[in-house]
Amino acid sequence: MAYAKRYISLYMLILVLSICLASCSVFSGGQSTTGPLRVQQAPPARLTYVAIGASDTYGVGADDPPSENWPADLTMKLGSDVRLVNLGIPGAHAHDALNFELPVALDSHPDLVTIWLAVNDLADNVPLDSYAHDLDQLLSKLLASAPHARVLVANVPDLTLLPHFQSYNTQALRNQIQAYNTTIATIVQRHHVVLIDLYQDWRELASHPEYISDDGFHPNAIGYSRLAEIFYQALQKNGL
Amino acid sequence: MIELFGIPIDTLTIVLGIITLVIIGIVTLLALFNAIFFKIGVRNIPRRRMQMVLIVFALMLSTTLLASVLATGDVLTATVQSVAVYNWGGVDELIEGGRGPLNLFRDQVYYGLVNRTRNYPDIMAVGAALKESDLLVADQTSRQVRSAVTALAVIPGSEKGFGGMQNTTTQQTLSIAALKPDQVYLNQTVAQLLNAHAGDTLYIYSSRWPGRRYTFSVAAIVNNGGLVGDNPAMLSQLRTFHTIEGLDDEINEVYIANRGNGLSGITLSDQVAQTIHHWFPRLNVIQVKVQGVQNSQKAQDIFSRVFALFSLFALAIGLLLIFLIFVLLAAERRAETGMARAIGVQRRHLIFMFLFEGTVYDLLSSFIGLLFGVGAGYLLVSLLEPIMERFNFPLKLTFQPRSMIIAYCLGVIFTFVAVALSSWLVSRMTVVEAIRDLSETGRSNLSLGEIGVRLLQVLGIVGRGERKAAASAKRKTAIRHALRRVRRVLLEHIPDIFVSLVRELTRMGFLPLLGGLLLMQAGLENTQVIPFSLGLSLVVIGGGLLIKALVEQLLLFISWRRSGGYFQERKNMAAGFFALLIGLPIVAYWALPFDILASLGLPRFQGGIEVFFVAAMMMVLGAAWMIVMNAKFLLSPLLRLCAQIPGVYAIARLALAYPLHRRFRTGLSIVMFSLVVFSMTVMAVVTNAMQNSYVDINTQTGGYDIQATAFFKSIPDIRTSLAQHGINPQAFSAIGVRSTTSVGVIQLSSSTPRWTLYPAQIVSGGFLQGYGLHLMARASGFASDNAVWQALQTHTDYALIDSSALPYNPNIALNTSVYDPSTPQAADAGAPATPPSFDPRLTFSLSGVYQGDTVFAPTPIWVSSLEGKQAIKLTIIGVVDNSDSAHFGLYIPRSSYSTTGVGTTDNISTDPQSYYFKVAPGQDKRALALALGSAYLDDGLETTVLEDAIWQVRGPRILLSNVLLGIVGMVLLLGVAALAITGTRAVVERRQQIGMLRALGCSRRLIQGVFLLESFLVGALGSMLGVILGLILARNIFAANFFEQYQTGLAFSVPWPQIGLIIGVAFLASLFGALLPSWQAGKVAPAEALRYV
Repeated sequence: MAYAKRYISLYMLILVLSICLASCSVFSGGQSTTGPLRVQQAPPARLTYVAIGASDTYGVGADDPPSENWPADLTMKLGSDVRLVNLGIPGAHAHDALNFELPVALDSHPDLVTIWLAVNDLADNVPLDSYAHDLDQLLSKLLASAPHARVLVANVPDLTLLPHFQSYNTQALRNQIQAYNTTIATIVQRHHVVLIDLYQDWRELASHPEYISDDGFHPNAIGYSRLAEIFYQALQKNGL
Repeated sequence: MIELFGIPIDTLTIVLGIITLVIIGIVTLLALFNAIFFKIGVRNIPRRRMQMVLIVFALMLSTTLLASVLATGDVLTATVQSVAVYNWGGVDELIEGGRGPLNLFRDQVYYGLVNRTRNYPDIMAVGAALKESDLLVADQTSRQVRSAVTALAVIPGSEKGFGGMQNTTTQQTLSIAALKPDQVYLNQTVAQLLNAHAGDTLYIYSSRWPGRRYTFSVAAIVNNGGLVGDNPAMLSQLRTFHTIEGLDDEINEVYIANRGNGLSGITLSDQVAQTIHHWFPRLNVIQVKVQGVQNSQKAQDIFSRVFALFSLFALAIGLLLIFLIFVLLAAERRAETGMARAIGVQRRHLIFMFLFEGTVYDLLSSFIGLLFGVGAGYLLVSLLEPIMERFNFPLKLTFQPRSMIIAYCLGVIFTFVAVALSSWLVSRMTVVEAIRDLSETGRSNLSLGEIGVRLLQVLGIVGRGERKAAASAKRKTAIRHALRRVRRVLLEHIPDIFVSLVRELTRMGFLPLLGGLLLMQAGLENTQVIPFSLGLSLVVIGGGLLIKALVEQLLLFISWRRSGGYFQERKNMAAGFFALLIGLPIVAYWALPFDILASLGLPRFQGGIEVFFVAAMMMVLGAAWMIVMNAKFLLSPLLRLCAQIPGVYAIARLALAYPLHRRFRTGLSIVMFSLVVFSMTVMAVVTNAMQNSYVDINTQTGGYDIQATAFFKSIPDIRTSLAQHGINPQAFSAIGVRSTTSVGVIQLSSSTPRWTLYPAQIVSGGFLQGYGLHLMARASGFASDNAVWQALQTHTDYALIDSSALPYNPNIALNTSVYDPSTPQAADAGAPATPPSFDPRLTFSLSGVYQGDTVFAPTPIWVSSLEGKQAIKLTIIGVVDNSDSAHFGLYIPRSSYSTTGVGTTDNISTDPQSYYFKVAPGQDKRALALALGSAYLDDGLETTVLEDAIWQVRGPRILLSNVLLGIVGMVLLLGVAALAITGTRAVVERRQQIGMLRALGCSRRLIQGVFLLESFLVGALGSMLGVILGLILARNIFAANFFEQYQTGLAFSVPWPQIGLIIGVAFLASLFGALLPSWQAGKVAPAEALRYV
């Protein structure tokens, strides 16, 4: 009899527990917490790399701009645990970068910054003085707020090699490019940052039409990969 | 209905019809060849009138349930399809595809088509027009403005084939030719929106004619339909807009109406489209009505799926009711059956008698049930009529004869199967078992060895028969004997042996194990959850039975050395324990969210909504089995409690005697109760979610009553200017202002930060007090939603974002996309998952906060606007519910947006500014909307009463939600009736038992108390089981994200008042069902009861 009682008790316990468990799973609700406002933090990284730029930095011309752009390719080459903040805005001028990209770049606490911004200013005929002022301001503020960041500035490649500029006056365009590149070189030198001379280093464009996308203006995924290689070589050359 | 459980309704009708005819044919033939047994079987009907009434009523209920559910399905299908007719009027195909901004082509296409279709019978009418979209119309007379109006400049006479146009006031047919160049007709929709009447003066604006406006007068208001459907539209002569656009003979749309009316023309659409394409290969032919029906079906798919689930529950209740009735009937006839067998009636004759009786019941009841079902359908639609009238929905109730045939056939087939099965079970009893009314559990089964011996004996009979036949002198007699032997062997011995073999292999667990493993493999190969889960359940059952069989053998071995009762006592205990061992895992498995398997490393299974029905059945059966087999132990505390109360113990003991003795029948009753209450619980939860999401207008408007958009110029300070325009600002309790723009967004805390785009809503006023926006999640540090609203008003760097920006959590299988792969995408169902006109690849998605999160870390983002001056840093502190796809955006307080210099009121938006008003209590929102429009006519202020707009857009969904609610109501009524019948029959069929009790000296009051307590216990147990399991399953439906909660807004919540009502009604039904017969039973004289007259 005592044995049967124990048996009954065990049954009852199992049944009650199972019902309770099943019921509990029905009534699980939301949660609410209170406390100090602790904002979401960026994931930690060995090196934070910020790319300031325009459509080329964004990846326009590639099939999948978010993954196929030269800063992303460069990040891959820089090794593991590198965090890329791609600030490229299609159509952005140096002035736009000053207003929209620089504040974000500074908030990222960068270790490495690349700036490639002249093509839209040149194509849209932004006065050179104005461009020079904006670039100078950009570098001044950047270096003032992030003095330890390594900064690289790219100049204008030989746009006359691109199909999009075939209808342009080649000589006039070349003169304009030279003027921009001279200005960029001067500003870069003044701020003691590294110049990436795309005009010289990317002349292979003439023999590699496959680097350019269908719009005849932006590089494609292959072109971006090659661009990343040029930036990477420059980084290595400068011991960065 | 088009499909039922994935089978085309036409096919189903034919199949069911054939099966029914075969059944009726077989029964008729059997009756003709066995007339005497037909008479004996049917004789029971007039002799036991009360019993007959109950059986007929129960069968009728089942057919009523089936018929009403199918009739409701017809309403559902008609509603879904009518949406397309409602939107497209009489147009079946549309021809377009010309050149230029207006896609023009010459009117020769129209005239050519008219000539060609004279001898083409499938095309009934051709019409043509120059269509101008997105016009802004200001009614100078009513002083109201309306945007997005379409103008159709129709070739005179071409509208006639589409039914012309009826004047809404006089119902007179009007023509386009009767219009003067400065006159237009307005359709009902635009007339209501503009508060326009015949004779009003209209100004028409378009972005195509900047700086110009054209003046028209309204010739008449015409009904929706014909060429224009229900979209806001005005009609004019073709030459009127030719003059405005400077055109000569161009049009841009040709309309085709197929032979037939409404939806009947869509069957010809493919053929007509091909023919027209052949005639005019350069133009596009769009099958607008076919597409409309498809889109509507996708949009309302959720209702079809829920309806399918509800139908399955209704069918299961209907089937179980029929089965229960006949099992009880068969059980009641056990003694009688034994007598019949004792005097030489063969088993098959018993089956025949039962079949004949059942068929007569069926034929009597099905037609009545069918009529009641149709009546229930009519009742439902008549109750819904006010809703339909509300938004001029052209729904007409049309019952498909097919549905009625299906309901009738299903009733006949179910009954036949139930009768055949129960009569076969009864016929298998031995004479002694039947006459002595021994318990069904007392029967012994043949062992495998005995089955082998039996098989050898049967073969021996055949062999002996052949030798006897050969030895027989009379050839005719010999043949007759041989035939009889063969028939007995084929129809009785071999099926018996086969059944015994199957039963023994099942009892020992081999068959369930084998079947389970095969099903599991099939489920794994196809990643289908139903075969896998059923297989797993069978493996559990098989494993349990195998262990049980081994334990029983062990007990048998031990019992050699013990007393005689030892084995039976221990065997009963083992049966209870193994029921628990098998039932508990089954209930637990099916009660788990289905995606739990994915987190255990198994593939993510797929399944339609029927998986929940299977889960329901498994849970109810598993739990009922577990409880019934352990009922003795479970009820022992109750008995002990009752033993302490004098007078109650006897009642309790007697009340429990029958349920504990007849466990199968008690189990069936509990399953019946559980299933009804279970179905009602699930239905209540699902319909409650639907009602909350689709029908609760206040939730959808967020508290605002009027939306106003200024098309000409924005109003800087709307509250101050109200008084200046003669409107009392006190008439509004809250006013919110909203402008829409696009911004660049970057989140530095994401893994790959880059600029993306997102719509921004620049808000102020009431929006910052919580009106119009419902929070789904808030940042940690904010104790309540109110704290979030307070913070937004005081901090310039806080913002909210809508829930569509939140990704699914990749680490939680439950949070991934919808479970059913056949479900249309949210966008197909009319609910875009990402902001419209934004490329999903380039659209912002918030990192670190996932769908379903209710608390998250405040998330900083940077925002830029091309119109602004510099990027600003904002912190997201709340997530706005966007399950209705109407709240896309990053919600930025206006003060924050302008003070930080990103933008100003003037340049932030290319879209016009919108104002939202919540009217003060006691104010008429429609009158105020008209007053606002009139006061701000010069600003081009278009006012919309949000409730009306929601009705217009969501009318079909509201209607369908109510249709489902109607089904719930019907199933509740019929389920309750079924429970009452179950309770009644439980008493009626035990008259002899009652007589015996009375003869032994039990008082009437005691007998009444016994039956009431028994009904109460069965009802309470079944109801409790049904509610608990129903809530678990309902939660699983939502946990598996079956309804795409984050896009539909359908969320799990327990509607306690409804659940309470269901339990209460179920209890009352069972008690009421038992009350009258137990009262009557108490009055029956013992001798009368024992004689069973």
